Amino acid sequence: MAERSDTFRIPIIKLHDKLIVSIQMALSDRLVMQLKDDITTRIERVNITGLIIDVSGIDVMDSYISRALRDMGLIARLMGVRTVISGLDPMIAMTLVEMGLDLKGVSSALNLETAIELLDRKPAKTRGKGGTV
Amino acid sequence: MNDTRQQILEILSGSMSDILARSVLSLSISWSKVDPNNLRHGDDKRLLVELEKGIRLYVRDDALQRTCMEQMQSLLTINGHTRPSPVAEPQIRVPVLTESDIVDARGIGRLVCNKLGFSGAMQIKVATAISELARNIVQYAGKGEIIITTLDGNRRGIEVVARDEGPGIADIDLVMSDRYNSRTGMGIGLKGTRNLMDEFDLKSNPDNGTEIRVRKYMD
Ligand SMILES: Nc1ncnc2c1ncn2[C@@H]1O[C@H](COP(=O)(O)OP(=O)(O)OP(=O)(O)O)[C@@H](O)[C@H]1O
Ligand SMILES: [Mg+2]
Repeated sequence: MAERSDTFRIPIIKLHDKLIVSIQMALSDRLVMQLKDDITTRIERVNITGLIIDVSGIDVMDSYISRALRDMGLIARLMGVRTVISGLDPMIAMTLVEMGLDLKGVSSALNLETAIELLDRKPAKTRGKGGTV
Repeated sequence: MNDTRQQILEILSGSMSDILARSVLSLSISWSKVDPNNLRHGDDKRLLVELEKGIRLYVRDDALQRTCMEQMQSLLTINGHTRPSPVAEPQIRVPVLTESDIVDARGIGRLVCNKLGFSGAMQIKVATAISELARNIVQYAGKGEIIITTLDGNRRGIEVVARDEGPGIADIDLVMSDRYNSRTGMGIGLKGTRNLMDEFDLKSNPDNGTEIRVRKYMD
């Protein structure tokens, strides 16, 4: 809520082979659109295998926001990157279901930590990364 | 120059949008039944408690939240004499013109629900419904307003009216049906809103625009 300026962007952090986005505010449509663009550009530029979008700080998830998140997951997948949504508030999840919405196509995890584990687990056979679990 | 309301507003505006600040103030006044410009000893606490609820809900940054609360405390404990005067229950009108008004409208709706004692899940449902209605106004009518009213009769709850003078909805039955395919979105906003709320009433025609009235009750 403190970021009212027209230039504020949601930061995207690169951590090893992943991009991590943590949304900690009420999302305006402008921020959503900007984020979609920024994620696409970053995936194109840097070599990563996974994208984590942490939504633990989001206020609501309406049809526009949930569609945008699905789009981001789809774009990422087309570019060879897997997406995990983390930290979705159970009450928001319930609301989504009641509305008849879903986040089809993107996996979800309880929190950031399990999201990282989830992404590390699957390709572990091929990449031979020493898993912690 | 002892306009405490104005001073409270200024403190709130430091960490939230103006319209949200105004809503936090007017709701806090209404719920504490305390007029800041007419404070008596002991009233300040009641008002402060309400203001703090709003601050906690809307200021995510811990440091900013603390500063805001401290400013409020020092303002309200220095001031304060004379007698209290109850203030009428509020009806909040949020003009909806741009996409940032969507965020404000749903934020205010959530605040009202929070103050009414709605559960977290219900707060989110109402806020989500407001988000859908406000976005439709911006997308299809260009401008309009959201009116949020506290229902205080035999059933406590909240009413939200979304009103605009846009082009109207030509075929209401169609857009509310499962076979509707939206070109602009997923066609889920209105149906979803109907599912989330207890009452849903849609009136629309090309001459007067669209008015959607929804209600959610506490019990
Ligand atoms: N305020 C309004 N004025 C004019 N037409 C409207 C208004 N609200 C909705 N409509 C019409 O009703 C249709 C259904 O609205 P609804 O919100 O259910 O779906 P959508 O906006 O198309 O998609 P979504 O909300 O899922 O992104 C819209 O496509 C639009 O044509
Ligand atoms: Mg819509």
